Amino acid sequence: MIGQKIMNWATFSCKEASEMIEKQAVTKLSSAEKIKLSMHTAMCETCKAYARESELIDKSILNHIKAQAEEKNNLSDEFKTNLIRKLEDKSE
Amino acid sequence: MSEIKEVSSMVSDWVHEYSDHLYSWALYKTSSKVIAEDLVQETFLSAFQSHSNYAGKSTPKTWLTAILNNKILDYYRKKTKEGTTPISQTYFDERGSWKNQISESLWSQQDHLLDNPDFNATLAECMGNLPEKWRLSVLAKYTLEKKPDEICQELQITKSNYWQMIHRAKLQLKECLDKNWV
Repeated sequence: MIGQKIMNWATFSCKEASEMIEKQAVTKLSSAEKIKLSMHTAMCETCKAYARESELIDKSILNHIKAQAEEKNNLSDEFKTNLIRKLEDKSE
Repeated sequence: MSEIKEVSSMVSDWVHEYSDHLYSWALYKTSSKVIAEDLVQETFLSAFQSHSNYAGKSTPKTWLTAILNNKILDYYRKKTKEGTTPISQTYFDERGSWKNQISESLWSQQDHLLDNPDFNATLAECMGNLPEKWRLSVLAKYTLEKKPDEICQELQITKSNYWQMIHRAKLQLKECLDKNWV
């Protein structure tokens, strides 16, 4: 019981730790946050995995955006015809 | 030909000439075909309405791209500020511990995951299932090509708002991958 209380005071919950992992990528953590996060991830395999997963997700998103940019992306003729019709309607 | 008809025919010519380019750009910025189409359409309709602002000082392509960029940023701003999105499920118990422990999520330990087109396709599909607000929050880093501080400024959100959205998005993406990628 006491052990659990000390844990709560000294480290983050998994929810908080995973939040800090994302916060870290956006802004600086305070010294206390840094210490609590490293203590938590030292003990928690699932949060360690979360940090890895989060990074992989980011890299995969970047891959996806790059791949999409390299494809030939054209609008259909139908779309263009419809758009031109809308423009003509506006000038009626 | 009346003046308005002349404008309409000029803008129609621009559709033929520039819409594919604008579409590619919008697609790169939003990673969604449907949204990119909408934004391109809005761009031409705006161009038609405000043609008098086009002084011919820049090329039509530059002018249209500037309109489109404003539309893209407006879209991000509007969507990332939309009210709270209900969370489909909670990922943590009442003490804040993961409900699903490590044994259920081992994909991050697979080798060469990012070279696997199937993995990237699965993730893209998972991205498509995200509420728009969260989808944009994880895209912004790459598509707006700015530092976090500047992104928050552009989108008029706080930094904590920004990383909390990313956290939500990542949790849902993780869950989707846990389920659909083994």
